[in-house]
Amino acid sequence: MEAILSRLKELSDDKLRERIISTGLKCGPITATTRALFEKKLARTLLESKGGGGESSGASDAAWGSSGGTGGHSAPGDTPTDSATDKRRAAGEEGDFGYGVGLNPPEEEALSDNTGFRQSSSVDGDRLQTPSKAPQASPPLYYGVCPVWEDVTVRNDRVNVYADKKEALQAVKMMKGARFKAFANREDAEKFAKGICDYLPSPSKSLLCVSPGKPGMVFSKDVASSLEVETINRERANSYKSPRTQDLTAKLRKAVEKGDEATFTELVWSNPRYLIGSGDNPTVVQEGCRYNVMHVAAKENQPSIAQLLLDTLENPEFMRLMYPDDQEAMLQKRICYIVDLYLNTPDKAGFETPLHFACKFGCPEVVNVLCSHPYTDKNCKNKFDQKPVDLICERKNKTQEVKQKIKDYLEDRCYIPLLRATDNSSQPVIGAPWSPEPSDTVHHSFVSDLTQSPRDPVMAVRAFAGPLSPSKAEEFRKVWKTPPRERAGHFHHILKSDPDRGAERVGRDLAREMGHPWAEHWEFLGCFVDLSSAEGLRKLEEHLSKKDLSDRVQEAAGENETSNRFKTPSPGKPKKFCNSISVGAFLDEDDDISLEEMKNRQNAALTSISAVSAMDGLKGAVGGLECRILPMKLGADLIETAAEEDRQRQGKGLAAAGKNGFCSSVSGDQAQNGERPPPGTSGGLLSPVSNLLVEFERMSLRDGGENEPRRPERGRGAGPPRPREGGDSGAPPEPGPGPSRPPSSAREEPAFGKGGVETRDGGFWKAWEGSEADGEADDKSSSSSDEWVTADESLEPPSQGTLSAGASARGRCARSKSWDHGGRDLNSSGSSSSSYKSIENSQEDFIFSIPSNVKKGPFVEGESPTKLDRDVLLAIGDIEIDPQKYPSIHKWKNTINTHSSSEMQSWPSPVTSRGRPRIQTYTPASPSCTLLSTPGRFSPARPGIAPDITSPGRYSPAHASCIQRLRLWHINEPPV
Amino acid sequence: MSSTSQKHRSFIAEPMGDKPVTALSGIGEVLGRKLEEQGFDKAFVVLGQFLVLRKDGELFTDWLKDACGANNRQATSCYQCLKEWCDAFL
Repeated sequence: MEAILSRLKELSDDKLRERIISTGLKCGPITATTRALFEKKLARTLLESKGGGGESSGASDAAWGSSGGTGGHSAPGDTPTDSATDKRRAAGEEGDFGYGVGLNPPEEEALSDNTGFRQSSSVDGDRLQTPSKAPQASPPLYYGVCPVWEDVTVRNDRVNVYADKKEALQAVKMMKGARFKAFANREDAEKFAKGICDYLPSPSKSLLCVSPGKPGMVFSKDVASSLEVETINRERANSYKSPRTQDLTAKLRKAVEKGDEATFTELVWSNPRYLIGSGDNPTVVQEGCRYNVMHVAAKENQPSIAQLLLDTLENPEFMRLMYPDDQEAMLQKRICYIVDLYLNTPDKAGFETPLHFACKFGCPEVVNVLCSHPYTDKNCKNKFDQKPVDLICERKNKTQEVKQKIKDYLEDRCYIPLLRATDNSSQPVIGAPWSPEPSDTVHHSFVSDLTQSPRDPVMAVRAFAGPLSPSKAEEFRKVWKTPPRERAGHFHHILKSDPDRGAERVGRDLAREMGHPWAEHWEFLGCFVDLSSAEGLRKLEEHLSKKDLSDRVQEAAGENETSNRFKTPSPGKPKKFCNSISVGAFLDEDDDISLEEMKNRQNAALTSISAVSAMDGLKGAVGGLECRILPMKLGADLIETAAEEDRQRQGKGLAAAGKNGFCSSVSGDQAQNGERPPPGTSGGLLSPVSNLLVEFERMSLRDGGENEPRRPERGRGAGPPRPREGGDSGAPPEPGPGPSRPPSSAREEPAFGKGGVETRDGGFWKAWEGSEADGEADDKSSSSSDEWVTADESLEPPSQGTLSAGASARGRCARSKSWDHGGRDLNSSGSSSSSYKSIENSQEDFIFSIPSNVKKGPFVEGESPTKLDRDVLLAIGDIEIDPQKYPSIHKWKNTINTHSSSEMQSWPSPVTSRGRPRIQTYTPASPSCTLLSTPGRFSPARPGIAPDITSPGRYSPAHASCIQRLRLWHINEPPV
Repeated sequence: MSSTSQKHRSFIAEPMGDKPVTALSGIGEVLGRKLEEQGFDKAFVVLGQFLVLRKDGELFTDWLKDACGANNRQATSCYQCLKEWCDAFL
């Protein structure tokens, strides 16, 4: 043994390999680390075959030859007699060499083999050559090529049997869809080629209808690839190509691993096939174990990517890219299908889902994202029968707190909602724990509540705490409902003193104390958020700075377009900007507005919408008089009376103002009244029409409140109705320049006349509608009927104010107006001015005086501090505001803090002044309410909008409706 | 069999990426250090050797015993886990 070993050691690597191969052993690359092993093995084999003899090298060489025969080589020496043995030998040799040398082609190896043999044993050399060459010279196999069936009938003149494999392959390439097979004898091959025996239609046949004339064209191409292209073409409904595997694994996976959201988004939106593979399955971004994007994100601890992935997939727009022609329902099904697959597909190696990965690698954030999705199966088992909960932190981050965190996330997540009647007509209700999961343990008590009478107020979620584990949720609910004894007094005080937000405040305080996540609905932000969180602060900052900005814009652009810009998505401003402003305004001030609007509309209607450009104080008085006359003449209905009354009051007030307006100093004052709103809110900037529309939208689509109205508003804001109303409402404030007055008052007369005429035929609103050319009329008239309710209820306080103002002091008038409606009227004149040059002068007056108010700094809503400011301040709590990071909040907070607490108490609440008439117009049977009618499970917040990516409460009650619908789709789907 | 060891399961459950050599089942700290000294610092280098030896169990276990003084059980365990990994991912 040692002798052999030492001898082998002297051989070069090549020689050693030759010997190993000739011994019949398999030989891998001989390297520094493998050589010794091969030597040893060879020595052992030799020893065994020799029976432990110390023989001469010549003898052992001979022995190699013979042992080679047993190892698969046919024994050299016999000339080949029948093809069968030949074949076997060829196969054996080919197989051997193919494996043995890896990349080297067999011929070469065979040659070197021969030379090696010749060197080692001169006797065998010549004889060996014959058999090794023989297989190539006389092929034993026949290759039958069978064309597709149609072709057989066409061209059966020639039988495609080839002796050479290459020829056969060539022929296969010529005939698209053809197959070939090797046969031992020619007859079988011929039969096959003729398609007589063993004929099965090629699987691709059904797809292919190839004319026999074509093959020449296909010749150059690879058959397989052209087939593939064709099938893809057939399947494809869009123009996207499947990304290459390299792109998937290199680009997409790298982006996911690095958490590069930008690249991810870009890739995915540039081609949805990056995420949606064939058959709507997730794409595989890691071959072998077949990971999809979610697996990788979970493994690499990329919660943001996981969230982004879910958001993208659930975005109907995204699916629309992939399937532009699909029905909505189909799209939803597809979304459900693929989201489910992304969340729950096991990998190939360990049958583990992304949740397994996230648990295993200790990524609590990812667990959070995954678990918050209702589709996630938390009880999936892997190859070793383990659930995700069994593998928490098995591989990484084995700290106790991470473990606990993950465990918490894995539990059911419950939310404690606070429900309020949308009109605040009844006590707020603290709901039972709600969970997005269809769990049996989580009560169905809501369900029984669902069958409420239509007269019951509609409840909507205003705030919620969570997600919490079921036990914690129950505990929190208990504490919230019945606060701890020692503090009960305090909380009761809050509840009583603050009917609008008392329950929220209590819940907020408790949640903060117990460290539970909390979110409440802030109308001016249009979302559920915890203002004391970074997210909440960011939003508030955004809101305030936008308001600030809007002020400045207003200030800077002293042009007519100023107000227009707020309503139309002008290029200068991001759309979002408009949205938030208008939404905030509408949500918070709609009641004020509704009163205002009513007045405006009355003005508008009575004074013949399209004609009037501007009115001044004088005209107001005149208008008031005229108005009063008109309805009487016509015997108008109650509505008109109300309108008239209102008008009258307004007229009086304005008359007073108008009188004063003649002296310049007073006009300045008036201007100030008027200019208040612009810096104030967006609300002021909104045209009444857009507000109306918003409100109308809200009535019909209550639960979509924040979201839906935006679009119409944006779209129509600049539409025809605005100048109309604006024109009227803008009229009163116009105190200053005399020149504009005469023409407008001159015009006014016919205007009224026209209004009167119109009123005569048919109903008041009908007439008005008739005068409208566009579809806006519908919206308006229908919503107007609701408005009247508002009017009746809300008439009182302002009317008193105005009356007294009109009667006595101008200052008083200004006061009542500036906050209530006067200001808004003034402001809407801005919008009107865009179409009417005549008031340009007065417009400028406003703008000049604006800066004086801007100094006061923005408030959360409106121009003056309101209770909302106080609420927000309380909600923010004691958190230190970083002036660098949140400059606007800082500024705002300072402003607010200058007021004493008693002052704050007296701030008007925009909420309490509301008339809340909407509930009556709300028909529970309307399809839009169906979601709302189940308040607990379906919350009012935005369905169908892509929620914030970073928001943790994504599948919280706030978004439940969306999810619920998704799930309904899912359930209705037949099991695959 | 030892193939159910936790280390084994973890190893064959996923791509090896650039796991250290000690991630292989049967290779503990001591053996791992010895292998690292010889340049086998990562599991994939050992996989390379395993493949170069043509996935041959005998050769590989021999090599491992020679290279780092593993005992038969350790070597077999390591072989087993590399083999299963290859079955799954190659």
